[in-house]
Amino acid sequence: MSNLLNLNNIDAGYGEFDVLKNINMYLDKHEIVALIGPNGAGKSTILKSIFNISDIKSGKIFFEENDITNKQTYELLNLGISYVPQGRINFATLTVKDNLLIGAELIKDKKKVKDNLNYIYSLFSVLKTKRKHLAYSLSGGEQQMLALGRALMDNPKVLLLDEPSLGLSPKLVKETFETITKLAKTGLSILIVEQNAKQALRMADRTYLLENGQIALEGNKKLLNHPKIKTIYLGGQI
Amino acid sequence: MKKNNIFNKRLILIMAFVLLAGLFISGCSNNQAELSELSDADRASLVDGDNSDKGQGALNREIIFQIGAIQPLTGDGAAYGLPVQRVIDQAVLDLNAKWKEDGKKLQLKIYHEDGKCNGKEARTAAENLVNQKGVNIIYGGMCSGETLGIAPFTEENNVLLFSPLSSSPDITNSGDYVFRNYPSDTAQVATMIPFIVSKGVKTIAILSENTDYAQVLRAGYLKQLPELGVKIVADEIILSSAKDVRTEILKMKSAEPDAVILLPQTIPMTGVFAKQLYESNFDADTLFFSNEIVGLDQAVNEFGDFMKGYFTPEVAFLKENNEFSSKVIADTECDLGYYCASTYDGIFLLGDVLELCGDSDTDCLKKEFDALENWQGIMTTSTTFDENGDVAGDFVISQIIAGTKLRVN
Amino acid sequence: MQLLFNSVVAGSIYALVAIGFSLIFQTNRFMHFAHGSAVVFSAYIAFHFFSLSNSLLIAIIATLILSSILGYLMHLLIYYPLQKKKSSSVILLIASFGILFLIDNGLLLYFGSGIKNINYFGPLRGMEFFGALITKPQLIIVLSSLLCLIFIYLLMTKTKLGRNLRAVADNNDLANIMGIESKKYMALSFIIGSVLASVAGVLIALEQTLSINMGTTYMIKGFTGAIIGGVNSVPASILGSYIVGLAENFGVWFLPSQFKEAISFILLFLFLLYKPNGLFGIDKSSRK
Repeated sequence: MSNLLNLNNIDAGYGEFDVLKNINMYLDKHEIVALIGPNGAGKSTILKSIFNISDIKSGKIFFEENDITNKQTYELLNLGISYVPQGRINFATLTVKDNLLIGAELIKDKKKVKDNLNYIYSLFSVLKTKRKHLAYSLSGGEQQMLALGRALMDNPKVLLLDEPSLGLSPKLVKETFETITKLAKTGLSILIVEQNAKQALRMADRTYLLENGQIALEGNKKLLNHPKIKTIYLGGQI
Repeated sequence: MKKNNIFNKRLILIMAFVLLAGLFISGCSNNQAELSELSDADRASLVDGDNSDKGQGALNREIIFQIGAIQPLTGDGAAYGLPVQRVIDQAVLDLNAKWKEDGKKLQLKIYHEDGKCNGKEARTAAENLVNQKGVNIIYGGMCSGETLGIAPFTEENNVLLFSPLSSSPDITNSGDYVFRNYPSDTAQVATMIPFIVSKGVKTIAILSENTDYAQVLRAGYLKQLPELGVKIVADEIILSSAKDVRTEILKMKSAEPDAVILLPQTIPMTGVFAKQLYESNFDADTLFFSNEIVGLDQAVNEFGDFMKGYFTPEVAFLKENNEFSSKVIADTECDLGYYCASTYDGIFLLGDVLELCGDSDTDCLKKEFDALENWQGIMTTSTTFDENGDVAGDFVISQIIAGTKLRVN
Repeated sequence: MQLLFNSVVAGSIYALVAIGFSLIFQTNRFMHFAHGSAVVFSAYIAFHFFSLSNSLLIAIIATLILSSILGYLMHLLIYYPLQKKKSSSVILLIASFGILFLIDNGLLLYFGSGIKNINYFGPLRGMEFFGALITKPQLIIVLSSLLCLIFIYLLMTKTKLGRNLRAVADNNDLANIMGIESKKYMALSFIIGSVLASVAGVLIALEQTLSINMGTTYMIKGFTGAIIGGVNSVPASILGSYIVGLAENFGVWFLPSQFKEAISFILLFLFLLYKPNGLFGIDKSSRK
């Protein structure tokens, strides 16, 4: 098990409500792995299970050989896993800068925080320009950058992204995926849930197709030519 | 992620309703009826159901008279209601002791209820006393509002109502079975008005609390002062719940009155009025007049510094230099001047009448009350009831000076 | 001019109450109506310790400490267990009424209903100041409130604690995902709120005579101020409280005195019905 992140036989859901059945998947270092599939298939639940905000009924999750199945949020953050939930959620009434600083909540070293902040500013220059603005005044794309930036503030090893392109204009979608690819090149391992199957497949090293809470397909970019994918996901949904 | 808009109409209405309900309930929630603390000996001698017979006499069994008492035990009125309760209990003990000494096998038992200085509450208290405890005589209320609330009920049910302290003129005609041992406010107003005029006052402002008692006084001044050439330039009525009357006082001050009349109902309100008037820096020549609440010892002790020079009336039936009075007042910690005396003696007056009639023949009681002439109390001088159950009123006016009062007429 | 000053004095105290209420509301997502009880509790504790020790300093310190403990206990023993069970805001609201009765009646039992007074200053004439009469206690109220407001402002904007508190108030779930222990901050909001309430309580005790009913009165005024300004924002709540002070005092100038309380209520209902997010508040649901 020399994968970075490993899910073994995971059954998970919310309370009485079961979603995932016997999920087995992994993420390697420096990989971008995509999770695609129809609505309600359980893609977000996989991310939430890793981050322990859903109910894991059975199975285990490993990160760098450590069992992280029931670890608390701050423990996961300290280990280097960051989660960006769906919907460009930010602290609307806080400034951009404050939003970012919260991302570094668990870092004690003030200088490191400052350095990370400057790094994020260099990645997303608009965040620097608007650092004193309140988050709710930002445009959709800027809010997405803010959410991403905040997740990166503590130098994570793994980034869990939940539908980052949702609701964005095509131009912004393109930019988002470019950013993600760029981030991966810096050594980050990324697990991304995406509705946009085409883009996801193109960008990812490997992709899992999820249906009804189970993994239906797994593969690399060659999946683009898979008949199932072609007809259902490339022809039908965006 | 959940949306954060909780202000849909339904929730607003629920909140508003719950808020109102909470206010209403919390206003009534201070509802502890403090029962009197009789000594164990007295408690032991009280037997339920062993009731009085008519007439007096050499009966072998002890006759126990039961009466109810209503005064404010909670809220702002408790500041004078609680001392009065203590005086009543002491008087009951002393009366029982006196009967024992005289060889009479008689006992008085009393049930206290909280009138909250409020007609509606007092009426409920009276209903409890009559319907549940079965009393036929109520000693109370204290605030005029209480007595006025109780009277219709006691009249309907042939219960005797005897108040040692209520002063509203409306009580005069409130019933055949209603008696009170305190002069009507008309007498107070009648005493104060000539005095006010004699001081050369031409314009006057009135600050009154919104209760039966205070409003009757206010009405009296409003009607009679203009007839004597004194103009009312400001007239502010304050809710009992108010704590800050500075703006109202500001209105009064801007009318530049020669004098101000204060008509509070309770001692705490006296403090509010007096303090805030003092802070407002009225012209040094302004005269201040008030009702007798302001002149009560407790009020003068607490707020005397703010009330220097105030003219207050007091009933003139107090026996002077009475050692026994001083002892009673000290024992019961009653700092209310004539109120203590009237309350104390009222029990003895009742005792005399009970000896003749027992406690259940209301018509006999009424007859005996009417028949009293120049009844002498221990702390008060002569009591005679007129055809309405009132007593005549003689007031003296004192001025508050450096913590004490000085008679001025 | 005098009216303006009276309004500021009244508004200052309401503001102290409103901040706590707004903070607790934002962080915990329900209306903590027992907040007024913290005020009256503090006032009585201040009176109690002052009569015991005759030292104002001891009274103030004791009050601040005991009130923050009270605030923390309210959270720990009653609200938090209910929140863990995912009780609705209405249930928490009712629970807060329960606490209100408990505290008010507890105070009544212990202290009785007689008048209570901290006569620290003795009889005072007002001092003339730009056409208004100001007494020492009133001045102290205004200045103390101002100090508290400044302190709170600095706390909330310049410190990490303040920022995290605002984060929890803004979005509890996201805060947790970011590693901020929202439970800790929810408890903290109660402590801060209660400390502010205790300052209000001490100031009131110095200036007025105490009575048990004051808790509800000040709760309503503070609540109204928070709603009028905007309960979702602390600065807005402060402004709203001063508006209540102004409305009351200027209203009474033109209307009979009985309408003083009614004015607050009328404003409250108007705002609840038509502008529940207040004049300056942020409507959290209308963001992109």
